[in-house]
Amino acid sequence: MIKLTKRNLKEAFFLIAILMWTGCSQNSFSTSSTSAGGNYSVSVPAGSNVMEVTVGGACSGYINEICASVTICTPGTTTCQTIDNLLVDTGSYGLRVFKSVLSISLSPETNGSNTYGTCVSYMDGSIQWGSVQKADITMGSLTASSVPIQVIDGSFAGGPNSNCGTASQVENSPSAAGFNGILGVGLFAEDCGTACSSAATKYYYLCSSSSCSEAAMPISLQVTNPVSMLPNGYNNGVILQLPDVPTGGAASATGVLIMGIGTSTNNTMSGAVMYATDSSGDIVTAFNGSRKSAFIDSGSNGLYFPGSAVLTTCSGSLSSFFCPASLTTLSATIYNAVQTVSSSTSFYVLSANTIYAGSNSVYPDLGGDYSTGFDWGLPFFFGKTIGFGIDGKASTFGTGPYYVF
Amino acid sequence: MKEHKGPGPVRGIQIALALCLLSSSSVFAVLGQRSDSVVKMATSMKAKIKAASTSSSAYTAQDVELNGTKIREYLNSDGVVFAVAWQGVIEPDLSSLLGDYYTEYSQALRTTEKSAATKRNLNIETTRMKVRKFGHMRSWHGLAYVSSLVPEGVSVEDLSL
Repeated sequence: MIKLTKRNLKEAFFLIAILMWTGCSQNSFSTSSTSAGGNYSVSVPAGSNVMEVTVGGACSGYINEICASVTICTPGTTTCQTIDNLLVDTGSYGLRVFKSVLSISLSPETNGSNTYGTCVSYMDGSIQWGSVQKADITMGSLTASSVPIQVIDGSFAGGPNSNCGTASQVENSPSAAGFNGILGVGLFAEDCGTACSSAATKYYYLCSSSSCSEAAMPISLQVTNPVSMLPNGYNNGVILQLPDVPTGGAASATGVLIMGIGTSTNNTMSGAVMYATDSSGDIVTAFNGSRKSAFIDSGSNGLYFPGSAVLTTCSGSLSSFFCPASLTTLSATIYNAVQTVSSSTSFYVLSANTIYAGSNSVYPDLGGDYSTGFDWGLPFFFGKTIGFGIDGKASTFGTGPYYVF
Repeated sequence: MKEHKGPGPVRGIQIALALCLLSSSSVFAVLGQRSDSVVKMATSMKAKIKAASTSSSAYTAQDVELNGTKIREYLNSDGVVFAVAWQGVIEPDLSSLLGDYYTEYSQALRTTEKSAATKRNLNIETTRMKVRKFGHMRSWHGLAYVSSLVPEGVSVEDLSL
């Protein structure tokens, strides 16, 4: 306990004055769109299983983009290349790299004697088409060997099969996408699973040099989350930790991606609560009186939720986002999939007009309207440590798929 | 010249039969069409159609399970599909599900401004219908509905899966 004397009373007043000043400046910071921002970071723990991740700064293809680098090698060789600006994505599974950024040759994966391709299609109709190839992937100082990855290439085998889409839908360049590729480190080992091994689907194709046709694809040949193929002790999931950033935004935020959950001193999440998902990787969120399907996704750049009853939507090109008159605090309750475990969480929404007019790249309060579900995107991660347990893999928290925070 | 006709049962049967011929896995009804023809077709094909638990006095619902993806269609008291919802690993073929509405949907989709956000959350609105799509790899959610066919008092956006 501090004993008050005349001298430390003076010091106390000085401290209070400083605190008030900091408080004021933070306050004005939070409402200003033109502030310089600043750079925020977490302390990086030691360990072979630790990778740095960056939001903003060199990773500024769009607001709230999160990137990391990995080294990929031709399998079994020392012919390697470090690829930066990979989107760190807990909403997908597997590494996908644009062909145009590759300077080394990989090993085209085959099914029987055929090369094969894969198609990822997104909600807005954009597609990523390309071949599946094998690479050794080093994350931090850990290596996963001969991992099937997608080499994104709109011209592969004469262009996308019509069941995937047309050439005009292809997202074919890092500049169009805002990244060199996607590092999918979410809740599953393979990108599709049994739905694609038991029947031909629009995900996988057997190909000649000039055409492809839909085919069933064995699980071992599907594009695979490299984390699931890391050495034992590091392959049961990942933990993503990002610093808190002010509501007025930041120039950049540096965090860490730690491989493995509850297996070493740097990945023990003591006191954290596990939220088991359903077999699809979904949980439930209650907001404004109704419960919706939900997921936690570092690859979504905002919080997308049914908020139009309580928030004004923007106009013009930002019409899918919220534009409240001032910074707004809301709360929601996150449940596990079977709704037996829950926690309340508050979050912030700042006008997207302010955010997109500002000079910063990192905002913990970008929100958009989505009426039938709750997408806890990157803003949810700031100031938190969140674990993603891979389907079928055990940890001190249980067996995946689960979120833990 | 093409005569404009409202969706009738004959047209519904024609579309359903066409779907049967196109693909043995197409057993769902089409948005805006009657579904009785499709139920008969599904029965003869031994497809998995079952009553969903969410039926109410205002509508009935039936589910179709298709290779890891659940499709639920909602029928109003006239037996017309006013909404279709889906969730699963593989987004169903929307040209089959949306029927006559597919053209306006795909036109709206083409003109949608693409961004980092629209890859995982998308709202499409045309003069007649609305489509809500969201999700992540292995779990794509969607809901399509025709506003004018939604029964009174039904909160249609709560019908998503």
